[in-house]
Amino acid sequence: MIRLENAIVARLQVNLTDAEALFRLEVWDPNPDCRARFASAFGLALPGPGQSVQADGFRILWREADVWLLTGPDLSETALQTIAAECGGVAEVTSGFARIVLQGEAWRSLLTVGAVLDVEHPDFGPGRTAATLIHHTPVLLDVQDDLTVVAYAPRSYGHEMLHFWQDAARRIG
Amino acid sequence: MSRLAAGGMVRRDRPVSFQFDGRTYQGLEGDTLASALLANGVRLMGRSFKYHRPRGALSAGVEEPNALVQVGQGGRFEPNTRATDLYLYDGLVAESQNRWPGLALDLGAVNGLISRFIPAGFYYKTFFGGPKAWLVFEHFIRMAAGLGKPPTRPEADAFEHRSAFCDLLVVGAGPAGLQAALQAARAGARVILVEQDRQVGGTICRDPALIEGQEGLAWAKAAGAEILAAGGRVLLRTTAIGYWDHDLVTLVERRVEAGQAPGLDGLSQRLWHVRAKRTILATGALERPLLFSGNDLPQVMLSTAVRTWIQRFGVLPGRRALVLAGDDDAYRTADLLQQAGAGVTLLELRQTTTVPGQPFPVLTDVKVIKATGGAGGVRAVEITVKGQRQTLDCDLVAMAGGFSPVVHLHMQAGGALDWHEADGSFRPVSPRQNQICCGAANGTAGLAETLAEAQAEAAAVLLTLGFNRPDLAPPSVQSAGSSGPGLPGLPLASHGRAKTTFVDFQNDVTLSDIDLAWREGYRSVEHLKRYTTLGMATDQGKTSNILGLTQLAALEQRPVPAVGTTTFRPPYTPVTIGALAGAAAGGHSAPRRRMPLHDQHQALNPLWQPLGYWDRPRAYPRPGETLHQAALREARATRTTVGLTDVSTLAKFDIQGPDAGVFLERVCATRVRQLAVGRGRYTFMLREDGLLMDDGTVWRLAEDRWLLTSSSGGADRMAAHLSYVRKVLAPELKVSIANVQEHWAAVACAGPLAASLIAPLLIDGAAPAHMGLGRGVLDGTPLLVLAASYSGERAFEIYLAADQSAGLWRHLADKVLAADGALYGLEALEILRIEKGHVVVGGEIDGRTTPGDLGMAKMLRPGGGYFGAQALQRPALQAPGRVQLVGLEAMGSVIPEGSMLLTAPGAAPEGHVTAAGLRVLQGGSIALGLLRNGEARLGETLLACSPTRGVTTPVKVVSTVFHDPAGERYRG
Repeated sequence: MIRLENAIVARLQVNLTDAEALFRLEVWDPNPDCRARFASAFGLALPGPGQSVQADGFRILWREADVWLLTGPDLSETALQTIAAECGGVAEVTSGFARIVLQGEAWRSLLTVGAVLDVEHPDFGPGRTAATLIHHTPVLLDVQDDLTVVAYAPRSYGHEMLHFWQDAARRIG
Repeated sequence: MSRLAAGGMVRRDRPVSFQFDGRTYQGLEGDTLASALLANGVRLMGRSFKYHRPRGALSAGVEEPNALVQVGQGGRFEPNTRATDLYLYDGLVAESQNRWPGLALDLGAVNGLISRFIPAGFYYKTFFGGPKAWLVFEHFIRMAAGLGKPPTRPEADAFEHRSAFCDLLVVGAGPAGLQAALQAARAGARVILVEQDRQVGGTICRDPALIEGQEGLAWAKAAGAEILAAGGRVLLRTTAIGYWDHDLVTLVERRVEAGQAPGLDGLSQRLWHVRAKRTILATGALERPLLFSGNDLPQVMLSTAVRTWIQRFGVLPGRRALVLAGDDDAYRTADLLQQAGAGVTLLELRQTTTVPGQPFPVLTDVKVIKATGGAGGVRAVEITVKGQRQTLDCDLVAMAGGFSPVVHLHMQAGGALDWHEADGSFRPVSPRQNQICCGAANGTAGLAETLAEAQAEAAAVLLTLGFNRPDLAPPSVQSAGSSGPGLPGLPLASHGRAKTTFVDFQNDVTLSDIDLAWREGYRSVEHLKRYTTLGMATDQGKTSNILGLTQLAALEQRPVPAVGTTTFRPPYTPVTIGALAGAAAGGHSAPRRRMPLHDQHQALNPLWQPLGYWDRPRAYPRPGETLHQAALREARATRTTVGLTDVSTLAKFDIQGPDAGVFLERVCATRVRQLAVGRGRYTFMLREDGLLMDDGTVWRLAEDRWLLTSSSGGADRMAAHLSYVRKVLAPELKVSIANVQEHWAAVACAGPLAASLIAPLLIDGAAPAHMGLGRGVLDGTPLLVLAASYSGERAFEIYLAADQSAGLWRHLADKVLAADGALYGLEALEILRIEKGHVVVGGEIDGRTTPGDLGMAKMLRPGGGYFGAQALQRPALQAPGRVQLVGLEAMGSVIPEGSMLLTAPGAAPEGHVTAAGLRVLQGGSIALGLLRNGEARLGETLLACSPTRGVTTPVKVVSTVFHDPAGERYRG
């Protein structure tokens, strides 16, 4: 059998202490004016289910119904609260997540290890997010480009997931 | 040597050295262990389970019941491996099993002489009589039980689990599977093709044919390559072991053979979880043995196995062969044996007088009485021909007993079976999930018919999946070999001695065992199975179940389908425990969650305690200190000066919005909304059934912003609960709920000196009053200080971003230690809370208690409106006689945790001890417990009885609060 994983290098990066600021935005008001308010402030609309977008200087990830994560170096809770105003709530969760960067062509193979997500589906590419369980750990995946996926794992699982993926990556090659 | 001069798919230029029972042999690359042993003239490969009868290979595949060996050494040792399903590699070390002192001379064979005393179910009969007799029997039964030895060393190699999704999963890469997968790949579907063999082709490997004008194997390889090139996944040496609900199919991929060192990746096996939109089961069929006395002798084997040895491995297993024709397949085998140079006589067992036009002698109207021989193999077969008895010498007997479709996965998927009397087989019908069977697995015979069926089935599946079906004609086929007279298959018939006519070869179940079980009343097939152990061996009855069923049906004088089948349970073939565990072994057996201050704790060399997935410090013992001594020292320091502990694992929720207060009152059963900004309160939450779910504190950070904390162990449950209440029960509320458990680290500083240590950190320089909150800063990091006490002392929980928490810990730890205080862990935390009478989730909040049971009914919010309020009104939860929380004070020895509370020795339990501790400063054993009508029994003396510890000690029922009942200390 030809193994697609052969001759592919998978690299992993860990970003725990230098993580960019991360905020959780929950929009509680279904009024379209609220959505328009965010679109106006961010320069683009909040992404739909399973999607992420790159705004000017920050990234927006769909998290769950009416909830998004916003990450970027210059974001602040106060500024985001001002935008959200009476439409929603903002909470900083920067320290709550370990961000593990999966980089290399083999990221799809790597994510089949211990996961229950169709990462090999052709539509699961850049601009897609997925919340799933890997090795008992709730993980949010953000496909940033063809070679890069950022996995958001709860901070306490970060060390475990790093080693889990490093071990798996060694097996993939 | 039995290796033919030419032929086979082995690499004659690549010899492979291996050992069997300590002796070194040479095989060829491409050999299985069994084929290599046969090539070396080794016919005796194993001993049977009960009677230790000599056995050779019955089959050439995964259904093998006889030739089981143990392979490998150390961490790569694997018992009960089928020699017919183990490909040779250099350095392979195999041993026969279940024999002593050796395979050729096995003293266990004496069991055969006493077989009349150990028939089916004999071990059940040892239960008759007194228990002392059973103790004697048990010793010998346990000594005799089992085949191989279990491994004694940890696995040396890695295992992993992977998932895959596809449009079409095809199980089996024989002609049917290949054709179906090829069709789907050409249509652009995502295809996974699974084959348990190391190459594609299936029956083509033993029965050559021309397909599309090319040699069959070349066609098969080209088809596999085309599937791969189209983006499909072809997994060889991979067995579909189970078909589960929702079309989940599990596969085990063997990256290396049993006992073999893996490559650089270190990976031995991989368990795949495949979710397919559709599944085609092209799993083929298994040949059935025939029933006659001595049918288990070495060199009595299945007809298809004989062809496999010759065609695939270039091994001629015998030179004087008798081929027993209960099915037309025998003619193909006889033909091939003759071509390979063996002397062949075909014995037609079916009702016919002539079979003209065969290139080998054919005897008709034959009945087989018995085969004779020994450990060296079969030597002769006694038969009757047209009623005349005669004996034929031979060194090989090939049995063609017809075929049974492999329907295991179909049945695991919830399918049904239909009985076909003509060939004595069950065929799959009524698929319950998205699976279909095709080819031999569907009872289809003939290569051309199989390919045409696969073509049609795949096309239909593709249509349902929305793919354009390529308009292709089925491949043209030209098969080789004799086709036989076209007679129907042989119904079960046995003419020899039932006691030595084997049905289940591996478990030594004979026809007479089945007869005996039936006579003793075991009429249900499930009872028969368990009584005789028919089909319960590692081969799961692949070659025996249908024979046993047929015999039972004959005894019952009922049709076979009326007798029924046993359950087709996964796995289809044996699976190593390593494959099931995957990467979850050793340090990865479960995730280990690290607290933000993990490194700071580790530097202090604490005793770690797993709590759920968390690793938490249990205590920080000094050199020479026991856990108990360390915990007591830490608790005493907290009571007398100051203590510091890490409580980062607490659940924490940031709740915002104009309706946040309303939302919290849906969740919390206590008053919340009246809380002033800057204040907090103890609270608890109920389940829908009115019982306590969790407890914690709620703090009003701002007019529309709150912080809710709850227990560490219940954090995930609480997060799910809040989400449920928010999104399902109260979607109209304008509220956001952020789980900030991991964003916020938290440390608790408790004790008489705590306020003075905390105050400098606060912006206003003053520690907040009890249940008040303050804001502080350390090195630019904002701090949230909550004045809450779990220890019973003046105490503060300090929250800050987890990334910044190390600095705060160092700062406070230095001050605490300088003040003669202590860092304390979970053990001291427990001692302190017990003495203060605080409840804990999992202890007193045990899923059965109400607020009233724990003395908290007065805290319930009048008017209800909270989750669980209605169910809490149920009469059963208000009825007298419920257990209630009490304190217990030892009147004798130490109170054992978990002990029963009795009024007198032998009396019915009135309750139990939920947590046991001690008075921190004064000493003396105390405990909390749940006692029937406990509140009314203060002052009563009971017995705390722990039979498992052998301790019974008198205790006095007292108040739950042993320390500072007035609460003066925590209020400061």
